[in-house]
Amino acid sequence: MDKYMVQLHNIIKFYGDSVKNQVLFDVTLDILPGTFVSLIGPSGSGKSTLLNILGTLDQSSGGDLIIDGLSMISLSENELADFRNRAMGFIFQFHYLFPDFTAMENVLLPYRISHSGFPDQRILERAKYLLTKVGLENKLDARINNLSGGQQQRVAIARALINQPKLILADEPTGNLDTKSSDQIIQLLREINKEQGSTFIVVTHDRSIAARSDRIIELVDGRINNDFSPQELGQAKTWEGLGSYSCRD
Amino acid sequence: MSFDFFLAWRFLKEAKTQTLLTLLAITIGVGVQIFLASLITGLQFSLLDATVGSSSHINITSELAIPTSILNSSQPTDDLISSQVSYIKRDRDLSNWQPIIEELSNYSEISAISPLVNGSSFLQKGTVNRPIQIKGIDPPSADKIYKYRDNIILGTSSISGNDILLGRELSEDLNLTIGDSIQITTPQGSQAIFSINGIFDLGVKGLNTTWVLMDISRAQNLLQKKGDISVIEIQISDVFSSETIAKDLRTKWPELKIETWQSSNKQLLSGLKSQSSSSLVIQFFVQLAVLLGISSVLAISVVQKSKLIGILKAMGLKNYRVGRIFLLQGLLLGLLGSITGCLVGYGLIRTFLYATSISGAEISFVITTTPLSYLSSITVATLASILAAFLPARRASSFNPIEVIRNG
Ligand SMILES: Nc1ncnc2c1ncn2[C@@H]1O[C@H](COP(=O)(O)OP(=O)(O)OP(=O)(O)O)[C@@H](O)[C@H]1O
Ligand SMILES: [Mg+2]
Repeated sequence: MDKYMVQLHNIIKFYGDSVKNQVLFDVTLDILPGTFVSLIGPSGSGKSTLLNILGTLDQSSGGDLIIDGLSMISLSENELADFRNRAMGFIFQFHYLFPDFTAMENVLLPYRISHSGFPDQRILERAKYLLTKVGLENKLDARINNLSGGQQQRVAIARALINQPKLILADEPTGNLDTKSSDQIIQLLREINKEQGSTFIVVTHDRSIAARSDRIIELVDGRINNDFSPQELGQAKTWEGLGSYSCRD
Repeated sequence: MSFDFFLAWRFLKEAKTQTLLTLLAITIGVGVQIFLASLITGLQFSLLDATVGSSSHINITSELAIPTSILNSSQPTDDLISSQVSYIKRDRDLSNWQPIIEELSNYSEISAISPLVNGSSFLQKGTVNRPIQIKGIDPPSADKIYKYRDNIILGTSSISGNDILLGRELSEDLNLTIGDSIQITTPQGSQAIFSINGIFDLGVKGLNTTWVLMDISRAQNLLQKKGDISVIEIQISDVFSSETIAKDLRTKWPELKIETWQSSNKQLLSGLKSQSSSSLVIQFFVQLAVLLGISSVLAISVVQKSKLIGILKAMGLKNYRVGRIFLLQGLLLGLLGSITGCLVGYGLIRTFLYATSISGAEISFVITTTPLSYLSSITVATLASILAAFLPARRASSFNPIEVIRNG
């Protein structure tokens, strides 16, 4: 059971009450711990929908979702909240940071949700370590409003990592950034993945992210259309192929 | 809990202008409410004190029931008689009154018991004649109720033998002073000469022009009452418990007539009551306006913060805690606003007292505020603010994080 980090069994998803619009069709998928997965596909193919179901933020209309050996379907809303806090980190296209908080305060938020009282020295050190890791050691006490877009996204990444989650879900983390910033972010994500052994599932239109992942899953019209490893396919072929997999440069 | 509190505090701190305006509204609301309430309470207290402070709270008298007509029935049964006979009731003297007084002294709620001989008479000075009320009293007991000893403006308060006290207006009217002799004539025709030993001012013109105080046994003698008295006057420590005590006394002595001050002050009481209720209505609407303000400010804040609420939920903050963060904001606003409101209320009272004192207007009442009244204002305002935060809190707790995140 615990062999896989994530298992999806026949996940389906409908939207709409009267007119049912099916967005996901029997998606079945196993992901090994420590894998860096890119989820690609054309706009509207259901990537975000799938990622939100994976993150237990959205409910599937059918099928089974098992994360770290635990069936998510059987958990109550409060249990899911606890699980998300403990085991998952989220990075979105928009950073959703608290604008009036400092970088440190933002990074500490997920920790403070589940720990009453003031953060102790150990966790403060970890927050500093993560901010240093994302290159913001000089911006610990800077207010979010005074940071650039790339810096803000890096704070959001540090925030997603504070509770040492096993699974990190990112929806177009570089979608809002210039090429240089996105390169830094990808490098960072990959490094963290290697260092901490956490599993990454990253929705992306970014060819350079996809090319550097362990596994690429392509979704088309709510179905898995392709599932391959760039390492196995070879660098050149992957790069070439990704062009048609609805990736932009 | 402490994180929720921390967030509630931060949300308020960040929305500085909104928060300050809301606090100002609560401050004004609570301040006005406290000022108004203490003004009305002070006014009513002094009115009440003027009315019942120096008079009897419960009167015990005896009455005689005289049948006025009996039905001309061929065979009147007892039942028929009791249902068909009407009576006229007349006040009668109390004869065996010492045991009653003894019994009454066992009540801890009763603060003064005074036997009194009452009677209308005429006072003559030379050829001038004035109607008076004779009050035959037992000085130590009567003083507890009338407080006449402290209000002697001329002479002494001692009454023994033929020494009497009379009021300021009566003495001025007839040009009487201490040491003067006057004659009192009862309706029954008995007469006696008395000597004025003191002049009192009870602060009420009606009493000062008619009351003549003398020793109880002298009055019994003059009014030919043998050992009887007219009434037992009672004061109690809590004037509003009079009805309860009276009820108790009525079951003990069903044959006696027991009346409370309320029955002779119905108009005053209903006046006070409507004054109280209109003041309550005003206070209620002031508070309501404030609460609607809090509610709408928090509702706006929920919308403004919807993205942050969404991300907090995604990161594992449970729904009920999100709600609690907004309830806590209501609590903080209510608590802080009502504390400053108390200060403002206190300031308004001080200012009012000062303004009336320099304008020369003499206010005839004291404004009293107790720490308890402030505490209850703070409690009520805080609870109400939490209540006002309820709808915004529910809204925030029911947010679906995915809606917020999807819509960027
Ligand atoms: N709340 C919703 N109600 C109805 N339909 C929805 C809703 N959310 C998404 N959809 C539909 O589901 C389909 C998949 O949407 P989704 O956002 O998952 O696509 P995506 O692959 O993430 O696209 P993009 O690359 O543009 O982000 C789309 O056709 C979209 O219109
Ligand atoms: Mg998407």
